[in-house]
Amino acid sequence: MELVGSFALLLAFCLCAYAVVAALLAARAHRPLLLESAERATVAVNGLLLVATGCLVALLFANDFRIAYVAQHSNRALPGFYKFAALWGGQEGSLLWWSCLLSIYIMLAVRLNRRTHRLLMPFVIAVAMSVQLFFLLVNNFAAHPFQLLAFTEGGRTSVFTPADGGGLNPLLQHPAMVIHPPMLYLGYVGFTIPFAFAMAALLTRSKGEQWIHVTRRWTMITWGFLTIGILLGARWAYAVLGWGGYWGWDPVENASLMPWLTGTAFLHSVMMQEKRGMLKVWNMALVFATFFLCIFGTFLTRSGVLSSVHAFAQSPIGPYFATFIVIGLVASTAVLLSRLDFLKSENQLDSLLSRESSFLFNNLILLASCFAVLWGTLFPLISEAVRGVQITVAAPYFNKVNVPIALFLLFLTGVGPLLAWRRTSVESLHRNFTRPLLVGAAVAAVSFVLGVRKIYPIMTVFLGIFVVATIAMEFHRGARVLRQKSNWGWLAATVALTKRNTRRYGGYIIHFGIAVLFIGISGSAFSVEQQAEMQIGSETTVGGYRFICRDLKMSETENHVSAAAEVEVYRGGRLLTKLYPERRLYKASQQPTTLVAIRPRLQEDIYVVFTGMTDDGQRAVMQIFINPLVNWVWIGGFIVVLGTLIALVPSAPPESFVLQARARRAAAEKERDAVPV
Amino acid sequence: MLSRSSLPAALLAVLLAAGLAAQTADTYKRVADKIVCQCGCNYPLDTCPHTDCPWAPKIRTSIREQVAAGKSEQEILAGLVAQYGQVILAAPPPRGFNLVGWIMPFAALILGIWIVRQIVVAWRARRPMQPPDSALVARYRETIEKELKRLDEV
Repeated sequence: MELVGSFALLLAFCLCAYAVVAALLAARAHRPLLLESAERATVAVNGLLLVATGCLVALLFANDFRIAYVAQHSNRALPGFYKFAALWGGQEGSLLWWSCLLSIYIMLAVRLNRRTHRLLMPFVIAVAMSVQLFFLLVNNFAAHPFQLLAFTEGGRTSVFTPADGGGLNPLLQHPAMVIHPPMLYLGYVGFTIPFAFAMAALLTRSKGEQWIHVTRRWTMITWGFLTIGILLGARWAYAVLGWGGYWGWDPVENASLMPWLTGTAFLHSVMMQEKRGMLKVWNMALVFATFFLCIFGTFLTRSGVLSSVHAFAQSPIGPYFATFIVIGLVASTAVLLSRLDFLKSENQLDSLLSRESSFLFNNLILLASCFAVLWGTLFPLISEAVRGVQITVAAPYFNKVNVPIALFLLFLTGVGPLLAWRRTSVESLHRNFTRPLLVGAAVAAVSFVLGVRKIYPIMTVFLGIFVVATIAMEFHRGARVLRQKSNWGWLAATVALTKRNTRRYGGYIIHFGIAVLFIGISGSAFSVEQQAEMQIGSETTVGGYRFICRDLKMSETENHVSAAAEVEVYRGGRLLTKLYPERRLYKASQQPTTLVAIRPRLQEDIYVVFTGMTDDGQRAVMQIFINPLVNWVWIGGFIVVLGTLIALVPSAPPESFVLQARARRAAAEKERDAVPV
Repeated sequence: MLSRSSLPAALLAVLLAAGLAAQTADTYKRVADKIVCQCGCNYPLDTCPHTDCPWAPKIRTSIREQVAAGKSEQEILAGLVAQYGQVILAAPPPRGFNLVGWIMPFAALILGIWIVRQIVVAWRARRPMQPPDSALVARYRETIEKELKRLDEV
C-alpha cells in the first residue's frame, strides 16, 4: 500500500511539472492541444493525490505501524472517527491533505472556466500548478507520509514495527477537530485560485471584467470556508482547551485571521473595480497578500519559529516555505509592477461622502488590523534580532491594539453599505442614520443603567445595535416597495427581496452576523472565574450559582483512563442542571486532557473544568467560569456563514418576481370569481 | 459565644479579613493576567490549557505566597522578570525599543490615513467637477416644465 502511495505521489509530482511546462508552452505557441493536455494533467494529478491520500487513510485504519506517520499519530485503540482525523493530525499527513485539496480546487477551477476564459487558462494552470508543484516537492522530498520506521545497526538498515502506535494528540480527539482543519485548509488552499487568476490577468493584460467576477466568486467561497474554519477552531478551543475563552491571540490563530482580514478587504474593494473601474492595483495587491499570508500562516504553524499551543505538527520544513514565499513575492511583485500601465483607475472620486470613500476607509481599517496582528506576532522575533532580548506579545497587547480598530470597523460596517455610489446627500444621511443611531444610543443607555460601566462593551453594544438597525431598515424599506407591487406578506417580500439581489442582501446578513458576533465578544469583559477544591458533598458559589459536588469517579476504556465529577448547579434553591467535567489520561501518548462541562444559554454559559486532584488525592480541583453572551459568538458566526451562502446563490431576475406576483394575484382573483355565490 | 460588647470588633475583624482576602485575590489575579505561561502554550498563566504543565503551577504557588507575604503587584512582577526575563510578561513593557512594538500599529494606521487622503485628493483632482452652466440648466428646466404642462393638459 505504501508503495502505491509513494509512487502516486512521485508520479503526481512529475505530471504537475509537466502541466506547468505544457501550459506555458501552450500560451506561448498558441497550441490548443497542448493546453488540453495540461488541463488533463490537472485531472490526473488530482486522481493520483486521491490515491495517495486514500493509501494513507487505509494504512491508518489497518494499524500498519511500519509506517512512521501511522506509528506516530495513531494507535490500535483510537476510534475510527479519529483515525480519519489522524490524516491531518501530523505534519506529513496534513501536507498531503493540503496537496489533495489543492488538486481538487485546481481541477474544478479548470473544468468550470476552461471554455469561458480561454485566454487566461494557460496561465491559471501554470500558476496554480506551480503552487501544487511546491507542495508536491515538500510531500515527496521533505515530509514524506509513507516513510518506513527503520533503524540502522552494523551498517544494515532494518524496518522496525512497534506493537502499537503513539496515538493521536489528545487535544485533537474532539468532534470539532474532525471538521475544523479541513475547513481551514479549504480556506487557505482555495486562495490559490484567485491568486492564479490575478496572475493570469496580469500576464495576459486582461481587462478587469474578464477575471474579476471569477476571482470574486472563488474568494467568497474560500473566505466562507476560512470563516467556518476559524469559528470551529474557536469553538474547539472553548470546548477542549479549558481556559474559558475561545480566542487567545496565539500565533497560529493570528495566522488564520490575517488572510481572513485581507480577504475581507478584497471582497469589499473588488466592488469598486466592478462598479467604477477603480482600485485595480490595490485589488491585485490584496489577492497576492491574502495568498501569501495563507502560505505564511502555514510556515508559522509548521516551522516552529514561534511557540504556540498548536505546536503539534512541526518539522524542519520552514526553509522550504520561506524560500517559496520569497520567490513568490518577488515574482508576483515584479509582474504587478510591470503591468501598472494597464491597471490605471477609470474613474474619479466625486465626493468624500460616498460609497467609494467608505470602501477606502474600510480597506484601511482591515489592513491596519491585519498589520497590527502581523506586527504583534512577529515583534518577539524582531526584538530578539535587534536587542537579543526575548519578549512575549500575547492577548493583552492584541486586545489593547485591536479593540479600538475593530470598533471603528464595526462603525463602518453600519455606515458603508448605506452610502450611495458617487455622492451621498445630507438628507440621505439623515434618513438612513438618525433612527439607527438613536436606537443604538438607547440600548447603550439601557446597558449603562443595568450596570455596564466599561467603555468598550458599551461602545460595542451601541455600534452593534446601530449596525443591526441600519440593516433592518434597509430590509424593511426594500420589502415595503415589493409589498406595494404585490400581495405578499412581510416575510415573503423579504425573501423575494433577498432573492432579487442575493449579493447585496447576503452581504447585509453577513454584516448582521458580524454585529451579533461583536456583541457576543463584548460579553467576555464580564466573565467571572473561580478555582475551587471540592470533595463529595462540598459546595462553592460563583457568579450567583451554587455548585455542589455529588460524585467523583474513575473509569477506563481501551484508549484512556479518566476521572470525572458530578456537579449539581443551583440558582436560588432550584436545581438547574448536572454537569460532568472530566479529566482523561490517554494510554498511548500518556498525555492528559480535559473535557469541559458546559451549560450553554443565550445569556451566559456555566463552564466547569476538572483540572486535576489535590496532592493528597482527596479533592478535585475545579475551575469554574461564568461566561456571558458566548453563544452569540457562535450564533453570529452561523449568520455570517448563512449570509455567505446566500451571497453565493445567483440572483433571480426581478421581473420574474413581479410577473409571478401578478400571475398569482390574477389566479387568486379568477378563483374568487369562479366561486358560485 | 461572643459577648455583646465584643461583637462590633469581631465583625470588623471578619469584614477586614474578607476585605484582605479579596484584595490578595485581586493582586494575584492582576499579576497572573500579566504573566505568560512558559510551557510553550503562549497563554496567560491562569489559562494554560496543558493540564500537565511543568511551569504554571509552581509560578502560581510562588505568586500566591508572595501576595500572602504582603508584596505589591509591581514587586512581584519585578522579581519574576529578574528571575525569568521579560519573556514571561504577556505584553512588552512600553519603554525603550518595546515602544516601537506599541506605536507601530497606530503609526501604520496614521500613515494609512495619510495615504488614503493623498489618494482621495489625487482622484478628486483627476477630473475636477465643473460648475453647471446656469443657462443650460435654465433651458433644461424650461423644457421639463413645458413637457410636464403638456402632459397635464393631455
